[in-house]
Amino acid sequence: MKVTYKILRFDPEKDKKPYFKDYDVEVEPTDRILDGLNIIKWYQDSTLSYRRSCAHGICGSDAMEINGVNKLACKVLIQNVGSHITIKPIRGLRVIKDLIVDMEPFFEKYRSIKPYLINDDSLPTHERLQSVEDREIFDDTTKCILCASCTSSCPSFWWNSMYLGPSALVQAHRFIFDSRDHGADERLEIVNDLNGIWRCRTIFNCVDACPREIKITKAIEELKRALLHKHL
Amino acid sequence: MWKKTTFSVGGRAKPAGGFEMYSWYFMRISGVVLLLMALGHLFIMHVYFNVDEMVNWDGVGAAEFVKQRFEGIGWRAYDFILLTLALFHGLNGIKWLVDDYVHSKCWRLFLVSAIYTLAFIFYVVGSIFLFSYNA
Repeated sequence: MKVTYKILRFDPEKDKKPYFKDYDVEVEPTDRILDGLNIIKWYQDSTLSYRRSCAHGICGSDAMEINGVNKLACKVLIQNVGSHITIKPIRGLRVIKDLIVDMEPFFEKYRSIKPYLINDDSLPTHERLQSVEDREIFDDTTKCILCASCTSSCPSFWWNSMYLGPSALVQAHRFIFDSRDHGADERLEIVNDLNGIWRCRTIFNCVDACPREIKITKAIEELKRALLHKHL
Repeated sequence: MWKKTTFSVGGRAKPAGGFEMYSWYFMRISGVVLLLMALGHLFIMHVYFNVDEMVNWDGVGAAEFVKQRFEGIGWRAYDFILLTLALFHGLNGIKWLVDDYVHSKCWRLFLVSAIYTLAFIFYVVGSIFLFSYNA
């Protein structure tokens, strides 16, 4: 089938402002959006820039706005979006070129919630065991692949780039509710900030955007309640 | 090149709990209470007693009704709680809008000061009326 890709192009070294460019591509309906992008890149216009790595929905490199919604280009079939496909870079982050954005502000926020095991106990001689029930509490938030689909779809983040954003809060949830970790209090106080958890306005864009179907708003709500129980 | 943001998270010691947490909690509780109280107010004023029918051409009927209500402390307390919750719930909502949209420090200071000043004035005027009204 023949589809038209309408892609927002921008090269800061040449262009004054972003512009749309159309590409007609011959694809199979069961091809993914990424396959069409590859055809454009390899056979039509090698100046088109975008990120991709594993191409199987694991590495989280190819998040982009596809027909108005943030998705991973490698997880969306062309037959599910139709023959007119509009692609833009994810919002709220500076465009480096075409669909590539500067992810550093995103990762800065990720690092701020200390995304690593904090446990000062003496080193165990075997694995740190955990019950199935204890794992269940934070199982959903372990699925995050840091693709930034959620954070870059969040209006609170568009309005204020200092907001931690849903992804960093999901990562905080993943460690705060892990029974093997002892850094919960420390992390709860990090997210307890006007630019932390309290900037979330429960808009649910993040939930719609997440390619791993993480219940992000629920996780954020659990963090708010944990803070409340800690202080009241 | 990427410019480092003045990201505040984790950058400074914060008081335990913090204003934002209590502000969020207040909005939840006051929202539920306000809904019940506003429905109660609607029922009493427009269903159980119909004030619209009481009002004659000079408004004497309704004034009489208010006078009767304010003879005891109960209705004054009801209206005082309604005033307190509605005023602070609404103004706190506007403060959240300012937090989201206004990034300039000067404008923020001006607008948040204006919100707090308005809250204070409305609260004082409303309270004086409620408690000094001579039935």
